[in-house]
Amino acid sequence: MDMLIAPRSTLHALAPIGLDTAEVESLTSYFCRLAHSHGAKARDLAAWTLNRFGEPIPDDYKWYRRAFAGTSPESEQWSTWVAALTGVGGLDRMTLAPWRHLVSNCSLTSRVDRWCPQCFADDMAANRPCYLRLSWDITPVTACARHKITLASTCPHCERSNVRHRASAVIPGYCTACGGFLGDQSGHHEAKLAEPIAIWHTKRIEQMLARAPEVDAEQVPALLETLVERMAHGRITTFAQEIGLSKSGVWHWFKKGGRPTLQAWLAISVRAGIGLDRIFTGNLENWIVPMSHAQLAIPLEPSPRKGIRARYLAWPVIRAELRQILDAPEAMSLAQVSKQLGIDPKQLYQNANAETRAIVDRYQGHRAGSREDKMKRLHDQVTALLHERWNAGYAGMSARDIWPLLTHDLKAIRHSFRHIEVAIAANDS
Amino acid sequence: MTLTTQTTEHSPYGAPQPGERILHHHMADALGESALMLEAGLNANLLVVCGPTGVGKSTLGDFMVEREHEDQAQNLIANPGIVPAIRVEAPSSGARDFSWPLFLYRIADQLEGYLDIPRYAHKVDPVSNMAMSRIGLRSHSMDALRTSVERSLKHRSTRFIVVDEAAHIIRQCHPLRIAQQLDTLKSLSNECGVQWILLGSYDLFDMVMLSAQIARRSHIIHFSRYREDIDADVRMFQACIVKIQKSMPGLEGLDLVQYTSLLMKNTVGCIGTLRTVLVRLSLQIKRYGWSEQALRAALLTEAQVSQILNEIVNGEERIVPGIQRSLELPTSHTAKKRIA
Repeated sequence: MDMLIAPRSTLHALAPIGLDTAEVESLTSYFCRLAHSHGAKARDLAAWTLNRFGEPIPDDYKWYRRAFAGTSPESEQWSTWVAALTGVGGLDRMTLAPWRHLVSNCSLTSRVDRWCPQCFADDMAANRPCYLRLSWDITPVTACARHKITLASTCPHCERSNVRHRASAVIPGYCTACGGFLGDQSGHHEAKLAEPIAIWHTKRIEQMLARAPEVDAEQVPALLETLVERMAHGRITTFAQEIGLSKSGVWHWFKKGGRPTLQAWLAISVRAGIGLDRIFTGNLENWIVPMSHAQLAIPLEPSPRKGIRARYLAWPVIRAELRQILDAPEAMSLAQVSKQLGIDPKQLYQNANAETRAIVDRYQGHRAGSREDKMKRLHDQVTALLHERWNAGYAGMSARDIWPLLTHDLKAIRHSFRHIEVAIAANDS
Repeated sequence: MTLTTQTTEHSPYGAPQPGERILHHHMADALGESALMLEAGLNANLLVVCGPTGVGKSTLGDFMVEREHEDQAQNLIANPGIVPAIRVEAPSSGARDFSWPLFLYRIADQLEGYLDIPRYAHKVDPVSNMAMSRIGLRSHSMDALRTSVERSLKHRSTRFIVVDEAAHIIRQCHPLRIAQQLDTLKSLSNECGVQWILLGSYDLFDMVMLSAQIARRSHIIHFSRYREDIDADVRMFQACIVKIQKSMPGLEGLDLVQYTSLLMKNTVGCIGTLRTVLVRLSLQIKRYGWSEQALRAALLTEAQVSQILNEIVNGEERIVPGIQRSLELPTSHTAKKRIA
């Protein structure tokens, strides 16, 4: 059997830490450790690497501006170069490049350098090199899932920020400004407990990092369609509503070939009840969409309609009764008829319209006739009172004097004073 | 199982190309003894291989490195970063003191050939647990070079370093500081778990013996020549002539065995010198064709032989007692009773 001994690597073949686990190291960290192992500055090693592969070096070169751990093709390029120089494969799994076709680059990587102090302290206690986790570079990750604390972003010694690796010479775990150990916690720099939702986000993302995606670029539209179909019966608007995103944003994924942000994927993961790692395998066969949110058990007061039973209204019978009411000698108002039958006037109109309108018309006629009768009686009473006053030797009476002497029903006539004056004027004439 | 080593055109690593050298008996003995002592690890930081000039010490060093690469083949396949052994030459810079920076550069070059970038001694202070300030760090300082070499030796899992012309380390310093020089090697050995194999002529032995402390931690291997007065050596020398002749163009078909005694006298039994003579002979034959005159022209001069022999004899007189071990066995109790 022939066995090939490869050429010795130019750079030390450092073993990546945590590869294919939730606590995978970032390529930035690996590069810093590599430079440190050679007794060199990260900046010099980066410049040498660029020179080695024929790339130009800008005048104001800042090596840490290079996107080592993102989704960009540059990250993938750097992982390839470092792999060529170290002889260690699989370094692209220390970047977010494998998820480039699934996750939008928008707001993906954090602009602020963050770390978990207790993770660094654990590294030191375990006598292994301190290293930067890839998850710390991702924006939605704001907490450490292991220690349940918020990630730190300022040095506990000098209180400066962006001191994790932004310098020419870096030792992971130590402040680039003051040299202090970033795993120290004292006084007001003690770790704050993280919110449960932040821990949940971190866990989901770390699960994603532990497993390379199996969905390739061409399968992403089908994956999204499956999610929409299963979660919202194929309705994109409903789907957008379910996950709390704008309809236009979701349409963009389907019509313009856009990719969801990681925040959007997390929202989908919450609603769908499955992890990002499983979504990105494309294996959704045994996935059951969780039911809608269960109603909270709030103690409610007894319903005022409790005990009320529905009734069946026999409208032919009711129409016959209405016709009987029409034939009655005395006109009844619709309100009286409704009360008598126990049926709402609106229902009478809907289901016995002719009879109901006839009853209303009859009563209005009665009211009109009744009104004429009242007016005549008003006129007669006013005339009688005037004559009585004249006979007593008075010149006449005002409407104000007459009104209290009228009968009760006549007092209720609308604009009664006006009608009294009309009656007085008629008598005067 | 066939092992194929891929090396780049300018591979700096010390795995030499096999084929032209021969592993003769004395070399195999030295190789075996050094391999045995390498197993002792840090209990034998320094292995000192002394022998006459031209005996093949450099070739022995190449064989050592090559053998180590073969033994670690599985590790080499699994880990492209490891360099189990290297061979460097101690520099003679011409200055009064031995140039440690240059020596460390040569080691770094063997371990990281293409990586020509500045080195800094940027590290964490173990007492305060703080990273040293980057401000004021000088590149290529002695501290920086040593730090980078130490780290490289650890990460490359280097087991031993063969230092050729090791006498330069000791010769280029005041006699009172010899121990200090070797202490530096010992310190590197302790830090990185690396063993040193120093190759040199007999004066190296003298210098090592100057310090009792160094003498205690060293193991001396005498890589001796083939002697005319030992029949077995003569036969082995003859075999070497045949082997070298076969691998050298221009010497095919010649019967050089009949000149064994002559060649043995002229080369003082040193295979390296024999190779040099035969190379010259092949060149003579190529130009002028074979003749005994061509053979005579290829030989060393009598003055050269005399000088070399003088040094060898003096050296052997010093080293042979120096590496002898006596074993005084206790007399039995019964024997004592009888005597009484």
